[in-house]
Amino acid sequence: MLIKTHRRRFLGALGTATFAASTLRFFVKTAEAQAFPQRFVFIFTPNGADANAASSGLGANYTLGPDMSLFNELKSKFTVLDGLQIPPHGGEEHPAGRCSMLSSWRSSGTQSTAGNRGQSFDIFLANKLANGNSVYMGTDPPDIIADLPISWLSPGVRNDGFVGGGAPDPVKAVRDALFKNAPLPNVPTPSPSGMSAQTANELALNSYLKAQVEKLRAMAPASEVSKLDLHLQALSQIRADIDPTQVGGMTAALADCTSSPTLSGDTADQMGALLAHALACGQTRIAVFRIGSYEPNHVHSHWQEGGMVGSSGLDGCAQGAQSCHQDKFRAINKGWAQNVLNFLKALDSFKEGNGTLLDNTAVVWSSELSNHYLSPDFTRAYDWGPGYQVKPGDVNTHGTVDMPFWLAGSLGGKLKQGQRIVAQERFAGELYKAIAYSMGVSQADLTAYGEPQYAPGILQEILT
Amino acid sequence: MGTTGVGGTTELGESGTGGASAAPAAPVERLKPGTLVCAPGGVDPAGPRRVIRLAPSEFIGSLMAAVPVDPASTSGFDTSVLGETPKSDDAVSKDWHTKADAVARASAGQASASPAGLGCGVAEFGVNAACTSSYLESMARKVFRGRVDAEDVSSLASLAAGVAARSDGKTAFEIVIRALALSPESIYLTEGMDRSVAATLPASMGAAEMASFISFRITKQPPSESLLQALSTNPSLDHAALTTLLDREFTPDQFARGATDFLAAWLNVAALTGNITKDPIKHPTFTRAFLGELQKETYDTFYTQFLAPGNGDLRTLLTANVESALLQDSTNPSVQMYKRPGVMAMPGFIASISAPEHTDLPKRGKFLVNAFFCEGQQPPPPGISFPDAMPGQSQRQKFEMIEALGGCGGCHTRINPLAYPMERYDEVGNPRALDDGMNIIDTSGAHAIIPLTPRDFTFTDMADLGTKMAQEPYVHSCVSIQAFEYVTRRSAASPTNPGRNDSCTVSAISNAATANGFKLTDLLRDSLVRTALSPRAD
Repeated sequence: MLIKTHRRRFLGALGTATFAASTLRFFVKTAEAQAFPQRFVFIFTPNGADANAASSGLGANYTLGPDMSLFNELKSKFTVLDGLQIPPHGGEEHPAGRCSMLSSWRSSGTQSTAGNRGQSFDIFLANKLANGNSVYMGTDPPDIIADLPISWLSPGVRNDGFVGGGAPDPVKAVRDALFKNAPLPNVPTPSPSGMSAQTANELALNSYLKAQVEKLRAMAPASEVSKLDLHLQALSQIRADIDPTQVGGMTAALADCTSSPTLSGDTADQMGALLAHALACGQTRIAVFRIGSYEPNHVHSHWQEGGMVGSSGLDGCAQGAQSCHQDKFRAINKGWAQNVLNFLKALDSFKEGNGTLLDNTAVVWSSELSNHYLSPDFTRAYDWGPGYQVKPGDVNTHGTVDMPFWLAGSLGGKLKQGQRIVAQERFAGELYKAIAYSMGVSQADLTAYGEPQYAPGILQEILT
Repeated sequence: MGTTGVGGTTELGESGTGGASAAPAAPVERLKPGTLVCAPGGVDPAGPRRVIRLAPSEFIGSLMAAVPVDPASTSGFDTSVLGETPKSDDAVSKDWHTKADAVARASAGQASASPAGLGCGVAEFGVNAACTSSYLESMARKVFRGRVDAEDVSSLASLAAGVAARSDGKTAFEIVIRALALSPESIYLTEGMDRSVAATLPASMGAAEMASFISFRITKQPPSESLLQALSTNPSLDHAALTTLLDREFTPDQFARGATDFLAAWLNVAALTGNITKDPIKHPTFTRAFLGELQKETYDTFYTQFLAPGNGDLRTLLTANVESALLQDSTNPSVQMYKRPGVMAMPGFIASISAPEHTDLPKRGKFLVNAFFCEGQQPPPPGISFPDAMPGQSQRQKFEMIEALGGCGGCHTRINPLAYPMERYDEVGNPRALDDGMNIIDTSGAHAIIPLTPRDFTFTDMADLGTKMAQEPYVHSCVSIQAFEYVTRRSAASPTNPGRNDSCTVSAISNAATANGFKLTDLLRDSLVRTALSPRAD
């Protein structure tokens, strides 16, 4: 059943909209700036980022770090936001960081009891705009002592609605949760773009080869990199031969909400494809997507100290072997980065008006550990107390400043994209308020989000 | 002929990539016997970590170890080039990829008809996860020559599952075979990229890297499982142990074949089926097809006469009399009179370094001085052309006049004399009493050994030249440089750092070879062992 929706002010009416479990098509009102729903996705990967993820330059003329160079493919829609901080830890670093990063409240408690004193942004936004509907999903569950929830329903009440990792079939669990109102057919059909299976197969082969060459390129010495770049160029040329209509590696097409999305890649990729499909087909507007698990990356995130002292699992690296730990840390993070890119490309594959689903979404990707390399102009040292001293040059300390934040999408042109912005010592809560404001939450309602000193206002720097 | 010696290395060192728009490398001075400097007990700096694309013949050979290869599908690749070795900076271009994919597609189609080693039906490929993964693990190990990990298998399995879901198991199987064949793990050799061997640089090659490095240079084939296992279980080999291991893993005949490939590359045998042509009026029988046969005869003579019998030393190579069946030597009294002492008198070799219709002294001399004395030459000034010999003037006399000219003598006095003995043979290798101008041929000459001037290296004819070259330490060093560059596929002098070269390794190779009669198979083996064990760094 086809439902046409025409709305004068789509945003204002969206909070009361319901989405039928059938094919939905969205039409742009020419006189209005926005006719498609805006979505918000928070992506979380644990344990911070490496120095090689740091970008340089400002504005549109910025350079992604070597471990983030894969995002050059979507650079025009990818934003680096450096310098932000989250509320200081009130308890043990990892769980407390995770607790506070989306709520903008200082968390309380100790390692095993860290609790949040606020409602997390995803829940806040869902309550304001989506009848409370949101999804909390991921490849690995937040059920380890140091790996507490990011999503909090209300002060001290964690969101136990996590789906995915931990289930016997994590991908199916996500699929069932996302499409509980609109079960998908079991048999996958050709990809939403409508391309033939043969073309899709050739593109998949091309993508595999590209990923393998990029993997080799990441290991290669500088003297050999140009040779591999030529190889990548050849693969790009071949890809264009396979499907000349591609833009940025994907063909954007209207969502076919009666079909199952094509699932390929690892668990995170498959979950990302399902989430993108669900966002495109109106099954949800708000999501928190956890990619990866706390270990073994945590051991390696302390590579500067030669790995986690006293850790029982060193994952193949001897204690003190900095390079070994760093290499593993980077490899894991780059794998997750590829998952994020694949998800962004999935969002960008759905055509919405003159743009894509990604254009109408705000994707925020972050992690709970600070990294001073992300804003090299930072020179101040912080001292939050014993165990919380951070200084320039420290990587993945348990600090709360210079947090890694990457954004994608523009909420229909309301957010800047394709830039590097340094908002030194501003709070993440201000970013979230800017997003909420762009999605139609009134200024008065914004005051209900976050602890005032940790979400003092709107981050104007991100708005167009 | 713009390049001489092995590996396409010129006096310019490693130059731009094939088909790419990279800027040409700055000229680099080739390592020469006279510039070998190694302090007592010295060790060369670590060699470069590298990514090297396989030569087409190596790519086909590697693939054949795992899946059937339809010879017809390789028509886009010229796998017949004898002694071919890829330049170390060859890049994968769209054209190369397309040709490789053509081979891979044909193989995939053939293999999917009856997949050897697949534990379930091909229809289940990509659907039956356990069966698919088991097959992929085995196949990836073969095609990637031992360089496979769980992530590789997982990526391939995901690819298979996606294709199977879109299409069917047979299609998934064929796509995955292509993925295996075209993966960088398949088409590239790497050196020092296996970071699991050492956390810091310099790093040794990993076992799988070393296995491929050695095997392709001996047999042009991927390493056997036996070699892979032997190197994996013996990570800390020294020179003696690795030598013993290679003697166990490779037969004397395989070493003989490998040394033959080295000779073919070193002595530019490939040129005979390249752009070499002969004047169709003067030499009507020297068609492209005939040149191909001559190339094969040359190559086979290397093997049957010099290397397979076990007496393949430098002296034999340069002095033992040979005969050509193609040129009907057995019935040619001129051959009986002048004989063919060694490789420099072989018609295939001579034809490859001569002009279409005359002998071309400088061309021959330049090749010889590069191949046996490792002397690079600057190209002639632009716009230079040589006048024809005057009536009654021999080529030698003509060039002796040119050598006297200012600006010309500096090069020509060094390159021409070595070609004087070869004047005994015309441009297709026929021996002759008189040259084209009906002049008596003076085959004597002298070459100054630099930097040991004024010591002159004098000779009376081809046999004498070969004898003296075979015992000349300078030539030993040069041949060792050639062997080093052949096995490593790079110049022994860094193209980017003038002060960095592989003097100590080359000196060790040369000294060992000289001490043992300069046997060419020993030279190949020792070069491989020393360079395989040397560390790599950035």
